[in-house]
Amino acid sequence: MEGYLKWIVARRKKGFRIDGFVLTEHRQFDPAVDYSDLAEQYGVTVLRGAEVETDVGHVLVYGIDERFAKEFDLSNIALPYEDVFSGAREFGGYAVGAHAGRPRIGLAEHVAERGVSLEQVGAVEQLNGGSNDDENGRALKLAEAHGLACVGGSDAHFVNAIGRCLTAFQRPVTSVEALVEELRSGEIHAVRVEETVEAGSAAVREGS
Amino acid sequence: MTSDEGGSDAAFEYDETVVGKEVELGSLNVTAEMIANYCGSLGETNPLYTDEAWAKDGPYGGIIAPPGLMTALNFGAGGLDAKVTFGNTTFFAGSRLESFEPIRPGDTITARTYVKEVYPKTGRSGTMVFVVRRTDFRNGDDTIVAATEASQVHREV
Amino acid sequence: MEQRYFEAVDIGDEYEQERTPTSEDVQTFLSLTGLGRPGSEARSDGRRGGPGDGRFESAEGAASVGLAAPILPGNMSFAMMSRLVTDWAGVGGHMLSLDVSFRRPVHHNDVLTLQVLVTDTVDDDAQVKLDIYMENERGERPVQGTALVELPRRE
Repeated sequence: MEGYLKWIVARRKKGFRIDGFVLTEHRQFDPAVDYSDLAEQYGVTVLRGAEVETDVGHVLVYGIDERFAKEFDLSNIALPYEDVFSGAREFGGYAVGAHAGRPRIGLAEHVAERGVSLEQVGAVEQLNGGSNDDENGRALKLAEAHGLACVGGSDAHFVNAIGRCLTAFQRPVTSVEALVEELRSGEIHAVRVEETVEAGSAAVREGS
Repeated sequence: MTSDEGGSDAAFEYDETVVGKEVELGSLNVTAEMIANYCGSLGETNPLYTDEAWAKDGPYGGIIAPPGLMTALNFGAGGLDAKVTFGNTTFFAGSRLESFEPIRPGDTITARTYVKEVYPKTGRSGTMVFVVRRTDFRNGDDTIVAATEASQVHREV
Repeated sequence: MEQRYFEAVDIGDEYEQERTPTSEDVQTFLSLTGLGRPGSEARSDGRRGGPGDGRFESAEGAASVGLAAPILPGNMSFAMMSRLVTDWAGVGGHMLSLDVSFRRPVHHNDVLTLQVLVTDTVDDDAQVKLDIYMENERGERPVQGTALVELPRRE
């Protein structure tokens, strides 16, 4: 964790704006883990979420607590997606379709090939730091076609990847409650880190 | 005994009795020729590994093996098989090497291994099942000189 | 070979090497490890023995497991990344750990750029954390990882 924080501080010195990130570990969520002291030391907002696997691909869940982790077996790689989206809301959080343009593990393919319903879906990760341009393009088309809000995330499995893609918010986000509120508002958009120089507030997500 | 895991659309089985059960793979005598061949296949030029005259006055008083050598040697046996029933082929997915002590020509290295975990995951290429195996390498003094954790992925192609 | 000292390293420092492993290089590596020997069986640690299906040696073997062309054994890519790190550290450095993931196949004769990026320095132990990756001429990063290195201090 400290390495990520040092890297963000180094990126800031080069003029990039990265206010913080959401740690979204794969298939696990431990509410007891607390990075607030380290976050304060480096002046970086660190929030926590999870990346779970569903029958329509991976889903990022924010603002969840132990109730969500108890309701869903996070080690299951085929969770029912509609339950995950609605469950996140029910427990005070918000779910987003991760790397939506990727084959097999992104929403776009499942919508195109199986016509899955997006009734429960309000936002997708349109810019993903681990996806290629074609995949991010497919995610954008999906979002535009269905009126979905767009987030950006670095999907960083390595320190140097953190902050490659980010989400820009209208208001400051320094708590997970504020993050959920902003996501629900839909007043967000995805940006690449190069666009943040002299730009507005931004946060990133980090995966593992 | 087998275990079903992975959710309804990606069920697989494996022999969970092998998890954590350590077995010896065998022993190898590390030779100067072995080190030279490994270095030759990589175009290695580091005098720690390639230049006996230089290494004699170097930090280890002689040539040592490049740390990566332990991941390349064949100790004979393959360890206990997790018998994963998923996919039609396997690929090497990754490895972690920890290097604790120098390994020198003439050292006899004994490898012991166990299956650390078996888990499923989905990615661009579909569902995959990973088997992670940890191996410790000990020298003649029974000191652990290196350890690896290697991941093998089972998938359908 | 240049010696790198802890005091001279900063977060964001980069280093790279070019490598183009040939089929002959692969064959030399295979002969050392026993990978791909006729009759060798799939090994559950992916580390020894090799699949014996020809994926490292021939187009036919590669095609049998859905690959476009013969590939480097993962252990060989690992060895190349290990060399990258020990070269970066110099003879007085010590690679404490190396963690490598194989994301895509590496093919014979791929023109590879192996890169080191310093991501953290730990003053108390003179240790340096590195991100490492291998990029091919198509802009893909088939191999990525991290390393932890201990460097000497200047006297």
